[in-house]
Amino acid sequence: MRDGETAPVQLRLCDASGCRAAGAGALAAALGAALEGGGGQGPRPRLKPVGCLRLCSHGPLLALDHGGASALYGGLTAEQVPTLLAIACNHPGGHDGDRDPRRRALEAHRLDSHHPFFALQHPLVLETCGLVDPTDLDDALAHGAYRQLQRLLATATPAQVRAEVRRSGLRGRGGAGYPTGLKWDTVALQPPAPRLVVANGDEGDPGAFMDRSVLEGDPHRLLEGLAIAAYAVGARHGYIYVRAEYPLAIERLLRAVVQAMERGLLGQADPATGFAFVPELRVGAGAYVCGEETALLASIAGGRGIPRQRPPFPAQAGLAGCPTLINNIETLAALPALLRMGGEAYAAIGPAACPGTKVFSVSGSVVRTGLVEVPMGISLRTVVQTMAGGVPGGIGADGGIKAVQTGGPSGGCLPAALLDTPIDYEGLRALGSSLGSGGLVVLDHSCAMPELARHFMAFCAGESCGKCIPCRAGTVQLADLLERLMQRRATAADLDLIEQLAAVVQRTSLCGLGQTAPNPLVSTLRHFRHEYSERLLPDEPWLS
Amino acid sequence: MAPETPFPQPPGRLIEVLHQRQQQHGHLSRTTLAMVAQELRLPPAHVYGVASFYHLFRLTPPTPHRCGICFGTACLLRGAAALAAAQAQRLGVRLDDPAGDGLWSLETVSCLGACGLAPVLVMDGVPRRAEAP
Ligand SMILES: Cc1cc2nc3c(=O)[nH]c(=O)nc-3n(C[C@H](O)[C@H](O)[C@H](O)COP(=O)(O)O)c2cc1C
Repeated sequence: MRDGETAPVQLRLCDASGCRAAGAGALAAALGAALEGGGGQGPRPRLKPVGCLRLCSHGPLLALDHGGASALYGGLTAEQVPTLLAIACNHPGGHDGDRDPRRRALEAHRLDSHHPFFALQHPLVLETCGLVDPTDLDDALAHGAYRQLQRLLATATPAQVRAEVRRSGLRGRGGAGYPTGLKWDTVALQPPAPRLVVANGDEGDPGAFMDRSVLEGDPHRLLEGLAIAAYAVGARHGYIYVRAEYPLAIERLLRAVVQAMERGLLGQADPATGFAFVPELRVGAGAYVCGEETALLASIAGGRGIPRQRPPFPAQAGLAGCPTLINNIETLAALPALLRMGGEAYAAIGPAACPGTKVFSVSGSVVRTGLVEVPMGISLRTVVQTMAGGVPGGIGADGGIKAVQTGGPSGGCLPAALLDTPIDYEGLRALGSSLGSGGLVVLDHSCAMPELARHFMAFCAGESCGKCIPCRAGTVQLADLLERLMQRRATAADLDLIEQLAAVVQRTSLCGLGQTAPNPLVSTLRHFRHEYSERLLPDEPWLS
Repeated sequence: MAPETPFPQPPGRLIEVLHQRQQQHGHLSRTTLAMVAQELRLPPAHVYGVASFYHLFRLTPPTPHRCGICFGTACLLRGAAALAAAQAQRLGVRLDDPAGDGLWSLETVSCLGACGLAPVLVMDGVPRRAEAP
């Protein structure tokens, strides 16, 4: 790939669902037709569909690899295809080129790959996302897919793999940040019985699209990670649960499973160890609570996604009573790179208590929205201001940012004054928010915090499974009270009630959904209390 | 029990079967649910319970055309509510009324993970970037 002389000229077109919604399909069709039609001299560039190229706001994105260098373009339309191909077939940046108005127009679409948005990224989970064709197993193999699985099967025992993951300090990326190696040990050390592994691809947090990007852009990486996890805990069967709202991810994953099984990379007994692993895909049907691990298992078993009390934890008794390892998609997709570099080297990235890289999806009021993978411990400001560019037209030291919403409906809002906070699990929790799965939504000053809290509370009320009363009734009551506050009909006594009820719901709900449903409310009360108080009625009831 | 199944009870396929039937018929009618219950030897109440639990299973026939408005956080901040109101007026239907005007209906959908392009709307299943009204 690095060899400039022989590297093919290729056009990598982002074919993830974000860029598709921005018009990648029409661009692909125009490029395809122009390349079919031929014309021009010299070798014809190859059109390659790839996964997420990161900068969603500027989509559809297209990378031109030419002579060992790469240029990224954003927002191209079919009309610009001939000019683009002229550049691709000849040499970029010649002197005539600069005078041609069509070339100048095209250059206006060229994105600066040295911008911090790209330069500060540290891709490990996403190291081949955007480079490989997600529909082509041979291309994935050429980029190193399944190499770690095969190396470990040949050279390491399951206990050694677990030790390496423990050494890395990797913590689950699904939100809770539980140490992955510890969870694997728990599953592996249960009494003898079949074990199962489950990849959690429910990704229900609004504002999160990390797992979707992995599945759409590099499905074989997830399969390799899942197979490694299965080997490490002694499982031969696994499920990948993907939400139904991600049809393209489902299509690509299904194809990848078939390819890997047909090629014997999965499903067939390894000659040395006898290890054979069969993954199966399960599609959700639109229920946020199914991301919770015990609800997930109930859904895989074909029932309503209703959580149950833990313990026993799924690691002890999960699907059909078998010890079941549940890991998030990103956790599993981190494994191939982690095991290649070794646990120690991985642990050296980011803070000691929370090492490695994390993928974030950045959206909301920012100039550059999209996907970033950065070392843990980086400051929020670096991500949302330096990389994403702050609020469009925003002024002041904080770039017009009012707050950053992290962790979706179970997270909270951090005010601009706390933008220098390093991102890690404990740090954000101490400030009343949470890292969650990695969605960062930037809020500008037009956003009313009580309104946002009301929105999330209504979301949780709609997604509550109804099993336990604090969550079922409490979220509805809280949403009603917040609605009353928004209509300026609530009193200080109502606000007291809101706070008390929030504490009850947090402390007494059965599962994480109810326990965290009040978080957006509580965190905005903590940091933006005046926005609540200024909407209150005066206390004297006869005035209302 | 299939011999290659490594655990005691193979998980049920009910949700997959419901997905298939909905794809065939557009929705899950009472008759369809009763048939599924019979085929899988499950209590009808269980089948109805599962079908009604999940948001994406429709128990009434959908309109021929549907417009979805994403109400994820990013879309909300970038004007999803105004977009929904504008679409409701343009189509002459109420938001989240599955009957719509018989031809079109307008519904809120949960986050599609296309937050980078917010606000997003879904025309007959195809998501695309909408201009904020
Ligand atoms: C309401 C709720 C929703 C959740 N949604 C997800 C999800 O979409 N994806 C996910 O990986 N974990 C989700 N979790 C966390 C899972 O229960 C579980 O902790 C996680 O999948 C474990 O994987 P990890 O250790 O790799 O993070 C959710 C938890 C709760 C309480």
